Amino acid sequence: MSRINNTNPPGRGKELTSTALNQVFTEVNDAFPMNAENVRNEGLDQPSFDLDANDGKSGIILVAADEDQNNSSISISANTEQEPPFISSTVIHTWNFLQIYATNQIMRVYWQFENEVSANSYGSPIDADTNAVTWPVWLEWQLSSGGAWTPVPNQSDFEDLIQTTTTPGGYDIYGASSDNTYATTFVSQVYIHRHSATTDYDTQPARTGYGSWIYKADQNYVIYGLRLMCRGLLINFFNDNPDVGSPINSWYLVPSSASDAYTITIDASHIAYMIMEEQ
Amino acid sequence: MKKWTEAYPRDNAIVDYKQFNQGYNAYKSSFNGGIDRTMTPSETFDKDIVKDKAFHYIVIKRRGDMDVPQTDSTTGTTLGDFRGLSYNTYGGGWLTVDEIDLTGMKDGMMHWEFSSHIYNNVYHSDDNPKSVSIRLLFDGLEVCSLYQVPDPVITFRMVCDFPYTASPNKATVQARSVSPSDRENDKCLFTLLSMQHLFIGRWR
Repeated sequence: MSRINNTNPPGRGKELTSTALNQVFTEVNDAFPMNAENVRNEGLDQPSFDLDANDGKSGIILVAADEDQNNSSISISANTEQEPPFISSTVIHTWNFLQIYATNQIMRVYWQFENEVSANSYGSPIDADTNAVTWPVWLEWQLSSGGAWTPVPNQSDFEDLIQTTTTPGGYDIYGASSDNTYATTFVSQVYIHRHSATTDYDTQPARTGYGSWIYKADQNYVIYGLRLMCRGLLINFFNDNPDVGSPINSWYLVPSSASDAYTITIDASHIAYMIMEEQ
Repeated sequence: MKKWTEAYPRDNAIVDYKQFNQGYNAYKSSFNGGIDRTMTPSETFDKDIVKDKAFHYIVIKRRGDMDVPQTDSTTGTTLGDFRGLSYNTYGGGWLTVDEIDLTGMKDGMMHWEFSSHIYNNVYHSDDNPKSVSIRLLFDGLEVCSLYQVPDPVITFRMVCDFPYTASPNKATVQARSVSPSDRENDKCLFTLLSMQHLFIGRWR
C-alpha cells in the first residue's frame, strides 16, 4: 500500500503559496503513481472484468472447473499372478467431458472415495517384514474421443517392469517407482505389528481416501475424460538395481494366494478439476 | 460500489491551515490521475489485456522422496523395506525434509498445498506407538501442521492460506517421528514419498 509522507505541509500563520501547495500535491502523486499496482488495487472492481454470465469466470486466474459424483459400488480382488498377464486393473469411476487444456496452464484434479478392505487370512508374500501393503487408486485421462486411457503424467499403472534381476523370488519385478506415483492414493490393507511376541495382522477399517494431481501443461491437450483406477496388492521395497534411472523406493505388484481373498470395495467417489492460468 | 474518497472544498472553506489539511487529507486519495472504479469501462479486463503476474502466480514443485542427512543408506533392498530414516541415526525431533526458495511472488495471500505419501514403520507400535507429524513453515513461520499420523501408509494433503510478503520466500517442510524405545528394528522408520507442492500467490 502506498503511503503519503508530507514533508512540509502548510503551518499555522503561514501564507498558502503555490509552491507549498504544489509540493504536497507532488507528494501525493509520488505516493500514488499511475502504475500497475495502483490500477490493479484501486482502479478495478467486479464490473471491470469480462466475466462469463453463466459461471462468473473471467479466465484471468480460473479458466475452467467441474466435478462429477459416482455412487456405484465395486469390489476388486487382488492380483494372483506372478508374471504378466496380471489380473487387470479395475475402473472405479469414469467421467467423460470435453475440455481444452493449453500449454502452461495449470490443472488441479482432486478425488475422494469411500473404501473398505477385507481378507480371509494373511499369508505369503505378506509377513512380519512387509510393513506397507496397499491398494493404489490412480488417475488416468483420455486424450481423444473414444481413444485409449493412459495414466496422467508422472503416474504409472503399476505394471512397469522395474527390475529384471532374479530377486526377490526369482522373477522380474513389476510395479512403479515412487517418482511415478504423483497421482496415486494409497490405501492400506493391513496393520502388521508385533503383539505379545507374535505378529498380528489387523485389517484396516472402512475409510475415505483422497488424492490430487497437479500439472503444468507441457503442450496443448484436449481432454475427453478422467477416470480412477485400482489394483493390488502392492508391497514396498527399495529398488537398488532399476531397469531405468537411479535406485529409488518403489512399489512391487505382488502375487497373492486366491485363498487369502484380499479385496477392496470402493463405494461412492467424487472427482473435481480446475484449470488455471499460471500467471 | 466502492470508490475513492472524494471531497469538495468550496471557495470559502480554507480559512486556516487545519481546515486545509483536513480537506486535503480527505482529498489525497482522489489525486491519482483520475483512476476511479466508477470510471473504468465495464466488462473490459480479460486475460489478453492483463500482464503476466498481474493478479497471481502459480508454482508447482515435484520433489521426490524425503532425503535428509540422517538417511541410513544401509537399509533397504528387501521386500517390505524402503530406504530412508532409521533409528540407527534418528533419535527423535523435527527434521527439515524439504526446502524451497520461491521467487516471483508479490505481497498478498498465499495458498499452499503440500501432498505426499507417508510410510510409517508400525511393527513395534505396541511397545512404542509410532506416528509421523509434519509442519509447514513459510519464511520461518509455522502455517500448517499435521500431527501424529499412525497409519503404515497413507496419502495426505495439507492446505493452508495466509498473508505473506513479497519474494524471496522460503518454504520449509519439517517432519518427526517418536524417539526410540528399547525394542525397535533397524529398518526404515518413516519417509515421505512423491512430495509435491502447489503455491498460488494472489495479490488482488
